[in-house]
Amino acid sequence: MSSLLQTLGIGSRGLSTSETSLSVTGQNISNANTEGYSRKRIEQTAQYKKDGAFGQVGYGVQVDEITRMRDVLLDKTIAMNQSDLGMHTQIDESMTRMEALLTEPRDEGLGTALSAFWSSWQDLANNPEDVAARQAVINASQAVVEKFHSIAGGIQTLRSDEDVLLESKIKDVNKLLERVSIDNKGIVAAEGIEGGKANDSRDDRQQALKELSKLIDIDYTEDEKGYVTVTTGGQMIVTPSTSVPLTVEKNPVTLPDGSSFAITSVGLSSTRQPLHPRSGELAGIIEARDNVIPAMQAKFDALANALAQNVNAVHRQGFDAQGSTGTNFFDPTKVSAATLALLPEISKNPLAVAVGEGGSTRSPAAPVQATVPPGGTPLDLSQTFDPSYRNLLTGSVVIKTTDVPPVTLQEGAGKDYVVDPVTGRISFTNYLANPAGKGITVDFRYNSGGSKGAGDGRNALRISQLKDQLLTNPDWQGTPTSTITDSYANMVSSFGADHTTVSSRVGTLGSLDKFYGNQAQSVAGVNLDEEMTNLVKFQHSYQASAKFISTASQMLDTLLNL
Amino acid sequence: MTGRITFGMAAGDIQGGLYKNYGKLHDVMSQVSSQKRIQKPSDDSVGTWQALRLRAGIASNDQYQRNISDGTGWLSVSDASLNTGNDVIQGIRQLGMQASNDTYGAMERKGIQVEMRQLLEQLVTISNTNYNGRYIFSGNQTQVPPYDVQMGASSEVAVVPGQAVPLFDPRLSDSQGKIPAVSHMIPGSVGISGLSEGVDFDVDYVGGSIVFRNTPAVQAQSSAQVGFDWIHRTDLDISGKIERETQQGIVQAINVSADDVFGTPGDSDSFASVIRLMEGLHRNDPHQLRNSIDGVDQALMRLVHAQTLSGAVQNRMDNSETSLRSSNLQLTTQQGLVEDVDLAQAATDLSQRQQIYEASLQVAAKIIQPTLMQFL
Repeated sequence: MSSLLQTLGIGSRGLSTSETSLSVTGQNISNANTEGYSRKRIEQTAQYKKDGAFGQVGYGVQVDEITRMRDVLLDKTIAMNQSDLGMHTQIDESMTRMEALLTEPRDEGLGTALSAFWSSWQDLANNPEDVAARQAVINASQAVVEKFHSIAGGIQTLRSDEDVLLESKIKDVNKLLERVSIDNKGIVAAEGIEGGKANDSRDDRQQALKELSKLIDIDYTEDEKGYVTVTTGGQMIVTPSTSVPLTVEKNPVTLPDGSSFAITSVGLSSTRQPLHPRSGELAGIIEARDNVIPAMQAKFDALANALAQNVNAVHRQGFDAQGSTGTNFFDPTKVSAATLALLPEISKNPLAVAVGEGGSTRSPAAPVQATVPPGGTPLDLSQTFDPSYRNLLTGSVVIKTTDVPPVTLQEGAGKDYVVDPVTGRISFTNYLANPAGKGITVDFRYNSGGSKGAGDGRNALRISQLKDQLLTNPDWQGTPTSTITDSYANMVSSFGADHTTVSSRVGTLGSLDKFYGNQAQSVAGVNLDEEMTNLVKFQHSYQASAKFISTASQMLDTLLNL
Repeated sequence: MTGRITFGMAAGDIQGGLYKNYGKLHDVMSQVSSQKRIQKPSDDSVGTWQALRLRAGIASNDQYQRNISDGTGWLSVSDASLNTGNDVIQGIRQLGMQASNDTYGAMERKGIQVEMRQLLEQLVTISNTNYNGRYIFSGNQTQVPPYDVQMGASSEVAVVPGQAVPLFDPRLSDSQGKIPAVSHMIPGSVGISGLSEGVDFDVDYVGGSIVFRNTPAVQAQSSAQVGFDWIHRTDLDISGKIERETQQGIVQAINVSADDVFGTPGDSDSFASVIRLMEGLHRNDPHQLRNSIDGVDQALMRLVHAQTLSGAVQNRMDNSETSLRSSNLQLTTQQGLVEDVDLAQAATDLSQRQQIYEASLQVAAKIIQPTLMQFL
């Protein structure tokens, strides 16, 4: 038979179990909104003692442990998905900023500036005499140059922003690594010495691991003592004893134009070796900075280069208002998107724009007065009279004698004379009547080069026609396959398509994260209605235990008063 | 979803749904407010590609249309002045025919000569036709008239009887500082003081020289001052083409040069033909008058040919313009389809998404309210 005192003990154990349950419920309710918190539950068992008559007799209740409701396998899946999501989110953000730089399809985009550039050359071809039309070409070109500069500048800012971001994310990683390491020590200390489970530290460590996996691809395992070790790319970053922080490495990069800047990369403090994250935000930032953005930059460079080189090639062939030829339009030493510039001679002086095609012909003011040279020597117009008397127009030479009336000589082999049009030499082959010393007048037209006049706009026209020529995107044989307009449309739209792909990937990964999150929540999340029910339940059981004690106590009183 | 649903999950789901619905609403709102369907390339990459190409195409077309309207202006001025030229040459021919009639006397021919000189000068004026400050028959030398009448020129020559003495106009010098030889002198304008034409000297009007005869008056002089008027032709190259691109890759020359209209300068250009006719009048020589009519006919043929050339260019330009207009209409319509918001569609979308958003707000408000606590 059990004693009444023992019965009192049952009551008191019931009371304290209810108290513990109540405090666990209170903790759950308080942390309902704590990120990473998993709900706790009391595991309790009925106590008994051996009894001769009944075998076992109830001895009350005992709290075995407070368990953490958590799906540990799901945590790993979530972490992996977090890495993927983090990487793509970073790429998506960079691409969004890159896209804003393009400002297309808009009136203020590069496409519109290029159209205005080609049009300005046509207008100049229509009005070659007009200095204002020349200035308009320079202005339209400056607008194109500035558009290239602003895009290139934006890209450079984007890249250096990625560097700064990378540095701050590396610091975030290190804080999290330290947090894991501290939690490790707390958990092992708590569980090893005091026994039981360090539930809240475990929640905190799991949360740190989740945040860490968003930043960098990690793998983690827990050993039998409770230490979690974390690796990335096979390198240990949290050991049982300590965390191994990542380092910020600055690598100097020198550009072909001589300028240099530092590029940030990730290192590992233990090995002093560079670390290449494969996933997570760090990988996303590096991917955007080293691949996505530079690819676009290279396309803009190629576009600027094609524009400058081709316009220059045609411009060099033309003649400007001062009769000069062979000048470039764009500075040939600055043909990337960031450096593109008009030649200072052009931008300062509209008259230096080579509008005309040249190739003017003229004739001497008066027919040249000469005598037939002796001994069959040819009459050399350029040596005898004027160095510019060469490149004669075929059939333009008219030779008359000074006789009264004058006799017109016949040109051609077997006739009176033949002309070497390039050198301007006239050989009197078959002119037999009074050959040497005979007075003659020679009239002719020769190519004087230079502008054909203020109204010559053909070189401007040829430059404007570059618009429709295949100048960019060389195929494997080096033959250009695309016009500047098309190649720009292609690079913008394919960037848009790439961005759409990345964005939809982010969307997919995001909803996957939400799905996993909900799954985890359905195990670990605090349901307030459930806790309220528990609250009432534990309150009742506390009240019942108290009633039991008071009943037992009354019985004891009865016994003592006998 | 399995088993337990917590308040946090419900709240998270509701929040996510609200964000999504509001985001969609915002997309439609920004489309409506900007009137543009594509805000950035990733909204519609194919549409962006089309939009960029259409924009470039429309810009080119606009430019071609500008080129054509400029060219048409040029051609209509050119056409009008060639028409006048045609009338002038026909007038010259008619006067020449009239004067070659044997019943005409010297006085009447002198009267016609005065009239003829005016027509000749009118022809020179036509060669100097100007459009927007540009001489249209001067090739690329648009700042220089191809022909001009030089009045009151004077050249001092040595008197060597029996030899052709070329005349020079010392007032002019070309781009290289040389004084040009004279040609195309206007009959009746040549005078030497103390000597008379046809008695003491003969004139080669077209060639620009005089030959002194061996008369006592000539022998008395060792040099003579010759006064004359002549038609000067610029020494510059006027063969340059004025070109307009009227459609992609189609470049048309819109100008005809004075050489096309009046012939290559020399003994047989249109001015020379008219001068020969005037010579007949001046010398009162019906035979030469009749012989010179052929040259005037040739001048007319040349001018008609130039008219045909420029008419053909005008026709091609008109064709280009018609096709440009219709393609521009197509391009603009297409650009509207690709870039612009379909307002009816957008308005429907907007009200639909607004309803969805409001409905989700209402439902959310209902769901997040009740807990067990209200009933305990």
